[in-house]
Amino acid sequence: MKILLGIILGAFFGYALYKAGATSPRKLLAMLRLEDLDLAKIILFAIGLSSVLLSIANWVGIFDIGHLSVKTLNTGVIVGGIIFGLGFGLAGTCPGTCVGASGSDGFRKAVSAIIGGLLGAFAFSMSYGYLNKVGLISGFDMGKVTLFNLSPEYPSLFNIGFIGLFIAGVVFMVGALLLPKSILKK
Amino acid sequence: MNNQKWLKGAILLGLSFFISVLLVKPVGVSTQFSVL
Repeated sequence: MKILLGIILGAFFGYALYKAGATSPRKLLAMLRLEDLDLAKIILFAIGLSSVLLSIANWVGIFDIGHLSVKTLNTGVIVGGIIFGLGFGLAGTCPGTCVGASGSDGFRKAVSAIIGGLLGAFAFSMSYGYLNKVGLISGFDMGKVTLFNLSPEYPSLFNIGFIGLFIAGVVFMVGALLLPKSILKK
Repeated sequence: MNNQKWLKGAILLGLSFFISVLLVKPVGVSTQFSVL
C-alpha cells in the first residue's frame, strides 16, 4: 500500500514539477543566471505553503514534527554541495527534475543525467570507506546547523513547535511574492 | 496573468510537498525542511 501511495504521490510530484517548469533545463539555467526568477519564486512559495500546511497538520494532531530531522553539516556536505552545484549549472537539471524531465521532450538529456547520477552514486558507494578514512566525510563537523539557530535549547524551529514552522512558512511565501521576476537582464 | 501562472505552479508544488511529507515522508522532499 505504501509503495502504491509512493508511486501515486511521485507521479503527482512529477506533474507539479512539469507544470511549474522545473523540468525545463532552459528555465532552470535562467534561474541560476538570475535572469528569470519565476522558478525560484515557485520553489520558495511551495516550501512556505507546505510549511504552513504541515504546521496546521501538527496543530490538529495528524502530523508529528519529530518526523522532520536536521542533517549534520560536515566536509562531506560542503564538498558534495559544491560538486552538486557545478553539476546543476552544467547540466541544467538536478536528481529530482531529471526524473520528471524523462517524460518530456528533453528525454535524452534527462536519461543521460539519470545514468550519470546512478554512476556517481555507485562510485561514491565504492569509495566511501576510503573517503571516510581520510576524514572527507565526517571531518569539520559543525553539528546540526540551521538558519534559525536561536539558542542551545532551541536549535531549530521544530523545537519551538508548529508556531515556528507556521511563521517561517508565511515569511517564505511573502518573500516569494516580493521577489522580482529577474535581477540580471538576458 | 503571468503572476497567476507562477502562483498556480507554486501552489501545486507546495501541495505535493505537503501531501508527500504527511503520508509517506520521502527523504528527498522532507530534506527541504532541514534549513528550518
